[in-house]
Amino acid sequence: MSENRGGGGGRHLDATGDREVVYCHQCHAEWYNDEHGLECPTCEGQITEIVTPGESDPRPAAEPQSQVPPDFDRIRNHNPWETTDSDPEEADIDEHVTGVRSPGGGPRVTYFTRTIRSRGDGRGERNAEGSEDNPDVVMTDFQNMLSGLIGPAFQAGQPGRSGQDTLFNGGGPFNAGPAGGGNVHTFGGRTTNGHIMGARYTFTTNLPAQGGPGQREGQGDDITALLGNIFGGMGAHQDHVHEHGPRPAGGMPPGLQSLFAALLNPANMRSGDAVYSQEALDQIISNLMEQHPQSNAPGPASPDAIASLPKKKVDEKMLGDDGKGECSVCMDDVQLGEEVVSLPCSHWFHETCVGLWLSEHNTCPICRKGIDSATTPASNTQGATSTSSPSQNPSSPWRDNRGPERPDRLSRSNTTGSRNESRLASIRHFGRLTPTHEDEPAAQAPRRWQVVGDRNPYSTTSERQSDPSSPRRLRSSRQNSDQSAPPPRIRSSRQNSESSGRSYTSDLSSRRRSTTATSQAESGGGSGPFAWLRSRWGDRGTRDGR
Amino acid sequence: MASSQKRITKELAEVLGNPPEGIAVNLVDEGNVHNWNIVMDGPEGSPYEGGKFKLLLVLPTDYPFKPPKISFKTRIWHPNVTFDEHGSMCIGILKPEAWKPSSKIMSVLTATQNLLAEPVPDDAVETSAAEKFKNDRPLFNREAREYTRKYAK
Repeated sequence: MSENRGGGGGRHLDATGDREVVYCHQCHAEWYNDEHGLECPTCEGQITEIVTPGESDPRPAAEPQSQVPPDFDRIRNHNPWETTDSDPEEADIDEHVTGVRSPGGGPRVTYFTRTIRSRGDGRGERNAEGSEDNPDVVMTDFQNMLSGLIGPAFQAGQPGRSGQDTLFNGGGPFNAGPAGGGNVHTFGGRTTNGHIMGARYTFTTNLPAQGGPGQREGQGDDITALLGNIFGGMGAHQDHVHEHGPRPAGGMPPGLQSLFAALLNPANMRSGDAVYSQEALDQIISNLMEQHPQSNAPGPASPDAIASLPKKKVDEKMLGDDGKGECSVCMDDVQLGEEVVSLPCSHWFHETCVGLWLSEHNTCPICRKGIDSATTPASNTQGATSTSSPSQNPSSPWRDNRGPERPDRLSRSNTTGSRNESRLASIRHFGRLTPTHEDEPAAQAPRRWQVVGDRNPYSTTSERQSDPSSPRRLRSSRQNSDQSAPPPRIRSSRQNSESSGRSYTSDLSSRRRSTTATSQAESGGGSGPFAWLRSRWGDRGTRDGR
Repeated sequence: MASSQKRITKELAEVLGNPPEGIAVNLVDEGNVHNWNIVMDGPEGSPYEGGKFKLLLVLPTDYPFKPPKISFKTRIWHPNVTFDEHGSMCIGILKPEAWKPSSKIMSVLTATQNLLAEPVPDDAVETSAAEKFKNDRPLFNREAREYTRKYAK
């Protein structure tokens, strides 16, 4: 491919002239359209593009001549398959190439490169900092990488329990700076005789810096973002939990074994939105429950339900033996004849007192019994069948689960007691409702009662079943967040580079959009060597974008 | 929030008038009923016996709709209390999902006392203490007594 490139500064063919220049996205060869046509003469790839000069030029920019020997250029280069002057932008274009025929028509070549980097134009900025090109820096990094691999303290990264924004902000172990200790390790497979089998992984460890001067300013940003990209798949929740999960102890076998152990650990079997094992799902759910203790609290009662609570004048029966009574919310004495609100559990309070509480939690302030399920029969007996269902239903899927029974279930002391209690309650519901429902003309009424009756035993006996809201909540909140899963991010940066050269957008939502667009567009017309990957990642992208 | 102050004042009068055994209460600042200083004696028979533990009880402005917060100012080695400067305590009655407005400060205080006497290792925040409490009770008692002597005398 190198014969297609000129030497020195003009490495690219001149696309501004009359002849159309074609660029291959697979092997980055360039040729004139009138010479070889649209199919790549080097790799026979069909992912080619007629170069439009200017901003949308897909080809990497010509790199300014550096003082670095070409060997160093190659070491730090992201693409190990390239020979000398690879494209700097390749660092940002992610490649998934399989089944590419090698240049000499030799054996089939398979390689897979996965690189995640957050800073779009990293190379340019580093050049400006003037440290990247220092051979010492490169060598120090390389040594760091080796010592990191061999050292017993090697630690594979943990799946982040929150995203990059929270994990490493302010004083995290990956902070940039001279004393910060993050090293990026990149593995590359090598090519032999045109037969390539390899994979490249970029990952990080938090070893202390081995060579102090080698630390670059700004590296921490990269590491942070990179780690966040790789392991921050579940970073949807931006709350400030700074706990790091327990890390594997230093006794792990060093090097690749531990890398693979970390990768194959069932606990790590998740990627972005997708989890691949029950264990990983459990982990996510328990993380979420830890992070949101409030969500265990019962939700508010509906205003309708609060408003429809019966009001009573306090009579002798409601007061204690000594003829005194108090509202147990405000602890004020209540006099005979005063108007109070009575809950289905027959506890009574000042209207304002209980209203304030119920608008936050659907429980009785004394016995924690919910009012919603109990008002269903109440509104039923008033004959408001059709109007009562809408007021009940909006709250149903989640609140019912977080309803009155749940706190009881969570309190350790009387799980069995509350279970029996709720069973009893459901039986009572049936018993009380059945005669009423015979008078009811509406056919949907019994179904609702069914729900009322069935719900309680389930929600108390089986946590899994009673808790469908957690995974659902996980999913929806993830989609609201701006954290996109690593695979789509990879693809989107690729897509960006194809369509708009080096103008990287940092707007993740537009990335997401373009991801979907790319995957749909490409999965439609794939017959080239990308077809397999495309359909695979394409599906993925579509699913994520949904 | 006048109603919350009224209730807190009532409860304060109740606790001051009839303090639970081994618990002494006073306000951090006389003008503010929301912050209570509490001195709790280590329950008899527990490794905390003989210790005097200072606690801070903070009543939120929307009390009783939100639970009070209680923390140990005296360091205590206990499965349900963080062994640090925060001394955060994990107790069921004060958890958001378990709190109910009819719970009174008096019951919170006695519940805290009971927690000292009977740790709940399954609900632990100080896991090392919980492990020892579960697996090696004599060792746990010895260490807890040690720390009581060190910090709570």
